[in-house]
Amino acid sequence: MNTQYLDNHIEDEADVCVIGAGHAGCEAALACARLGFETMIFTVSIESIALMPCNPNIGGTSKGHLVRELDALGGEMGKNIDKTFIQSRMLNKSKGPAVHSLRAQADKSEYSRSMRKVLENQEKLTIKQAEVCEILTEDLCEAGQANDGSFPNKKIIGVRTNTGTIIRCRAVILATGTYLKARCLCGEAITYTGPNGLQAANSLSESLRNNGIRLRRFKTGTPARMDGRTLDYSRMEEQKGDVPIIPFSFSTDPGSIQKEQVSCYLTYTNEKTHEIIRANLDRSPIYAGVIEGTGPRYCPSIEDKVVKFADKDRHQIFIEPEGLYTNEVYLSGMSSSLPEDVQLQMYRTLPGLENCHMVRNAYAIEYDCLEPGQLGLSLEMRGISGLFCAGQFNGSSGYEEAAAQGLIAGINAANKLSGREPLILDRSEAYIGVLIDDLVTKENNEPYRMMTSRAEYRLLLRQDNADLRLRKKGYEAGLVSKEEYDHVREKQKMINDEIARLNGIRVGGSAMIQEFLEKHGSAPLKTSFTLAELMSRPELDYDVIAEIDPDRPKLPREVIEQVEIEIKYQGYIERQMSQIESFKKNERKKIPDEIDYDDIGSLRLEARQKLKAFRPANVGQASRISGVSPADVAVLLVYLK
Amino acid sequence: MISANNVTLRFGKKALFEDVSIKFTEGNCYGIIGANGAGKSTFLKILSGDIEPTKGHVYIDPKCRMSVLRQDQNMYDDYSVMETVIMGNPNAGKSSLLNVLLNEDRAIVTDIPGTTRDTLTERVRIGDAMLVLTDTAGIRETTDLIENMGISAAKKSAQNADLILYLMDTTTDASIDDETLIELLRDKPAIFLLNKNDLTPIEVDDSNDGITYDSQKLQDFLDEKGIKPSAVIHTSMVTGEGIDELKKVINELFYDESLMSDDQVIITNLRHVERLREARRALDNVRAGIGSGVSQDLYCIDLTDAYRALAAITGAEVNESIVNEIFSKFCMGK
Repeated sequence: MNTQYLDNHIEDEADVCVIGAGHAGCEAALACARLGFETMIFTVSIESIALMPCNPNIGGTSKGHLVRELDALGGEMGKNIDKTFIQSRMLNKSKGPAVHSLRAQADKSEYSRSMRKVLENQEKLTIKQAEVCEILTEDLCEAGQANDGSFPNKKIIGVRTNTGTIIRCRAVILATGTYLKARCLCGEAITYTGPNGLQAANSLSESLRNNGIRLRRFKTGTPARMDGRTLDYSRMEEQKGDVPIIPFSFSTDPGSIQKEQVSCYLTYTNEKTHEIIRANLDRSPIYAGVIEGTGPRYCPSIEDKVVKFADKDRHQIFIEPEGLYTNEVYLSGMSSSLPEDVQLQMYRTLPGLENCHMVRNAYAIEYDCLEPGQLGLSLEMRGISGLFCAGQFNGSSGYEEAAAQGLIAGINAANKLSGREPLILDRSEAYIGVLIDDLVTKENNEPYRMMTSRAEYRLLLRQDNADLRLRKKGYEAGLVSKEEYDHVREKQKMINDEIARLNGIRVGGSAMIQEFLEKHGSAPLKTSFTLAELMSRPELDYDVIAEIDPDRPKLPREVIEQVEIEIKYQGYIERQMSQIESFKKNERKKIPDEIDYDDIGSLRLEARQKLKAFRPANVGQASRISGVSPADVAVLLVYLK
Repeated sequence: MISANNVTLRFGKKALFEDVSIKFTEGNCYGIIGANGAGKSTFLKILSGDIEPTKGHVYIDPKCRMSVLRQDQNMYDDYSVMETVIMGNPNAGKSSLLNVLLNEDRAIVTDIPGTTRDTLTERVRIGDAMLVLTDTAGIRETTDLIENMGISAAKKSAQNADLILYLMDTTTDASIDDETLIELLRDKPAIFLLNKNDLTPIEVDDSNDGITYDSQKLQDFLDEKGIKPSAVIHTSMVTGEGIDELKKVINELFYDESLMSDDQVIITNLRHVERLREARRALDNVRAGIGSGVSQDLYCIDLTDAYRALAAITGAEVNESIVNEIFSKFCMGK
């Protein structure tokens, strides 16, 4: 700290400034501080640190993968939800391991307070409640020198708040979420606030645009909250939590988190609901043309669903408690921007909600956000050195997507300051890699939500092996301790040893073996088989084989799980690994930063424009840009030789 | 040294090259690069003279000689293409036609009707069309047992044919009486050849019942029976008259999709064959996976492999190995 009082305002110093204390901002700030850099985090409201403005849960299909991965890298979200959850379920248990997803309902208030406590007690991290109005930059080029965006022409030197305070810093992370020039729409009523009526941040957008940053407007929505006392749960289907509870974080001891859980409830919309919606579409801001922003296709408002899926006679609605501290419940699947009177009518048509009282209305929120094609894979702005962006500001949707980006942005800001290479995960290494590659390389015209179908290598990117995949990178980045890393290396060794052992033991068609096989409905042996080969039969598994494997070592459940998956899916795993090898070939072919695309003769016009706009780091990324055809990639490959 | 001048190549209505002019000069090493399906092999075949362009020409310095190293043609042997049957009355010139198209004396030709007893089958390239040509016994009423067997064989080949070349001897007065034959001619694409044009046809006479000697009579007959011919050509196997026109029509039919039966596929490229085999292996794995009840995200891996193999044919994917191969086989000058 180096506080100065100049010209009636404060000037101070930090290494990194993080703008926004949502899920992205918190991960970013913690990462920078933990890596040894003086970090200041700004928020318009300290009470809304790690706020969950929409659904009261963490995880779900593919989102659970993101949380596990960021936990393996040393992030905080997994640990925080393990401290504050009120229900936990593993989804898709009946399907293959690639799509198993953990999901936990949170106590919203606890989640936020718990994260705030972690921030308040983190060394090298200071919190400031203030609105940041300006980013301060310095030009890097000589005046008059032409720049086509291929290398940064500015660098970050600080930020200024609405009270005039200037913090000089060497890196800034923008994690403003849905607050920039936010406005909320509930039917015809418009309020110029951020989520939950919190103050919007109206000045920063202009400063960003003045620095050459291109912004756009997106929208997202949230459903109403009901008073739980006014609901009749007997008319709904109860959903209980899993027993035993599986933790999110690899650092959480499972024994410590087994506890009483709340239930969620399932109900449905019906034809009456749909009629009311259809009759009032003209009063919906989207259909009346009032909302400018583009909304997400995968979290559509109920009016979107009714219009687009007109043939469905009912839609699932989950009732989720918001926390132990309140009676408020959240209606999952029914966000809306219809007027309040229409909302009440339509909600009251749901079984169990006939007498419901709306504590908070549903609403849509519109906000300024970034065109993420301006970012590199490290999440740094190409045009402004030292400026990183993360979270919903990049056009993603969801707490988990935001947190994952925040962690990567934080690690990379720190790496930049210490002169290290940025951490970039590719599409074959992590869902986080898929997320960032998609955001930065593809043109997304609506808020981006992670789904398992977006990842090509789902069989290898499972949530149960996130630690095996990523602990090493977390350790190298400096966020994972030696103990945690050693623990994973030990686990991997046990897995490898056990697989080798099972592959090394042969059994023949002795009477005992044949009897055992018949008992379990398995074909008798004609020749000798290894235990591993037997295990890959669908009707047998590790536990069942114990009977004919008396000398096996006693291994932790997490090791057994991995051994089983690797043996049972060996063929598929091998085929997927060779697909990954092909993929990596093009990813390793780097494109030099200074490449001049105008110099390459036979590129088509559209391809040249797109390559200049997105400036991909390698040939693989180039091939994923829309408008760049395989022929253009071939031309590029020849040029690079 | 070699130059292509205003070369245009069309397949039916589709153009692969339009007005290409390019000169390859002495002392240089050229590589032709493009995405899959762009037409590289085809262009080289035009340069080497294997394929005639629709328009334009290739000029080679007269002092020079051209050496061509082709892809392995034997790869085609496993794949059937356009099954073509030569039929007609006895002694109409069918076997001669076969020999002419093959450019060699494969069939035994005599002027004795009924010479061909058996069917003779040969593979031949006509332009870009790949034909399996079958010469057959002449259709007529006969008591000769062996000849009758030959005639049955002829009709049988016609059942499976994609194209029938029906020959008529213009120096005779014969007709097409066989009902089975007429039906075949109705169903299948057929080219009618009025042969022996080098000889004087017999006089047109309304008292004659036949159709083989006169194009108008033939046309009337075809109209009456509801047969739509793909072409009617006057030919002579001795002078070669009409043969070029016949080849042209065959090529046009080849590229007209309506001619090809659904399970006919043309493989034009060695690399494509490998990819198709890869795709089939992957799809077999998918089927095995579904059969043993594995979950979707597992057999999707094999489905992806199949898709990638096919995409490599249509050009949807590029990988570095192709570029490496190019660089290892050619010297790239400046």
